[in-house]
Amino acid sequence: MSRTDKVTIKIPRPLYDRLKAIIQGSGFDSVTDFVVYVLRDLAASKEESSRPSASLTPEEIEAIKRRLKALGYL
Amino acid sequence: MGKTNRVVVIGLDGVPPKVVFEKWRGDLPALSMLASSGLHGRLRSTDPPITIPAWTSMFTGKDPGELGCYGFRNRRDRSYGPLALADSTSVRAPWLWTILSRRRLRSVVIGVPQTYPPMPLKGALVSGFMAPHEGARFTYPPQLKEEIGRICPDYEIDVPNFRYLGKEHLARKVTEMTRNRFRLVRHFMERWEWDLLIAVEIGPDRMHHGFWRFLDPEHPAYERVPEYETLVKEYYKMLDRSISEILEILDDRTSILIVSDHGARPMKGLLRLNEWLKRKGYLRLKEDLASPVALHPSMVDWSHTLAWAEGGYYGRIYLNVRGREPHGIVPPSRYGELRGQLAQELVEMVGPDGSPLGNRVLIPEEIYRATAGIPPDIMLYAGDLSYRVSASVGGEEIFSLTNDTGPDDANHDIWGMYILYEPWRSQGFSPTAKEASILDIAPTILEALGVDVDFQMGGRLLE
Repeated sequence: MSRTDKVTIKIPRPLYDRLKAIIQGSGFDSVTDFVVYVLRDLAASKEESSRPSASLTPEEIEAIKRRLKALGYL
Repeated sequence: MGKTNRVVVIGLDGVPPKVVFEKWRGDLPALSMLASSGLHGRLRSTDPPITIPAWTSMFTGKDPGELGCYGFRNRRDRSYGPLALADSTSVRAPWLWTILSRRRLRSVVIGVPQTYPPMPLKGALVSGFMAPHEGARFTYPPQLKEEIGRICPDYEIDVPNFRYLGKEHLARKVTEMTRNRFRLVRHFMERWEWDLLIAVEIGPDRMHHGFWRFLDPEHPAYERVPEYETLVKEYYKMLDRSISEILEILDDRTSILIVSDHGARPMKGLLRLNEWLKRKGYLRLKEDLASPVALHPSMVDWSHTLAWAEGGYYGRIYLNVRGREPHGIVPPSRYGELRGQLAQELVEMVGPDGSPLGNRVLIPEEIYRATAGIPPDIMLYAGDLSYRVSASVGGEEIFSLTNDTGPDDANHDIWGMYILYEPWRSQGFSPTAKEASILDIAPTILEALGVDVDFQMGGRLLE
């Protein structure tokens, strides 16, 4: 993996220290590993929520209406 | 059901039970085999029996009232303003694939109406009817679109302009669209990992709207044109072959459901409901109109209007209630009485030939488990769904023999069809037909996948 595949995120030092204490003896080698694990899990659970990420834009509503008209519904 | 590893659902929009189980049974070997060795019969659609909300009810287990979805457009609030399109963000219940995602089960979902904008899931989703166009972001994950472009460069969500195409051209376009959809289904079946695969094909409904009067001798404009009947029959045979190709891919631990969301019946004409309401004194316009135009709120004299309607495959009537609608005049204390009176007049309506039209009136609170969103005050099946309903006003006629939205041969029927085939118990089901409800499909799928059905769904298990 090249360096450009990763970005740096800054977190407050006191939080970093607390996380470091939490992972002692937990099997996580570093705070970074732990943070990536937690965020991945969070992201996955968010992605599986039932709500789509975005509603229709005004352009899309017009396109759908044109389509419905062409289909004979409107 | 037990013993299942996976479930495949093939949805065929608008396919009536008679076509598959009787009329062309002998020409459809795959469907006949599935029906005769599986559980099958008529499937009672939602009220109303319309693509949206029917498929959404099927795959959430919730009735249209619970979903707050009474058609493909709904009132967004109590104003007289334009209706809101029923997109996926308006679905108020978890879809089957959302329930499965939470349990780490994988779904592939193709062509299900009302799934645009696409929602995240564990698996893949290709939106169906009401996605704006193939250029839109109509898949989840978004990059799936490129995969579809490689497998099916001519993939189409729906056939644009289907009511205005020449008959042969329509049949050719629908056939191409259906072939592409099944090509994509086979691709997903073989290349993706999934526990539930759902694919809905809109093509049969498009064929019926274009050809029903050549198929059904009960249609008032029935015409015997063997070439046209053959076009539809060939289309059904192609569907049957496509299903047979899928059967070859599947192992004998996969349950197969073939379902339709509603049936088809002859469209005898059009009832212009707002014009009727106007003549009965329920609706008043600011000025009379010489020829029919779509009703716009700005035309209405709301201070003298008791009720108005929206049209489509069925009629939705709203009362103009004081304190509820912006310029409401019906006192809440008179609501029940007025609704009863109007319902009675609708039931007594006579058709163009002077005999009773056979209207059916439905009251949302009586037929749904809940009435979320803004339900109509009265739902009307004109001529028990043999007439479409137009919201237009003006002109002389209450009835018209043609549709206001373009040529059409079919209206929707409340009876769709289902087949449940489980290879390991092919002799275990009684071969006689058995009626079921569209709300039975969702709990049946969950049960087959070993997921507890504890979501207060309205249906029962097919067995």
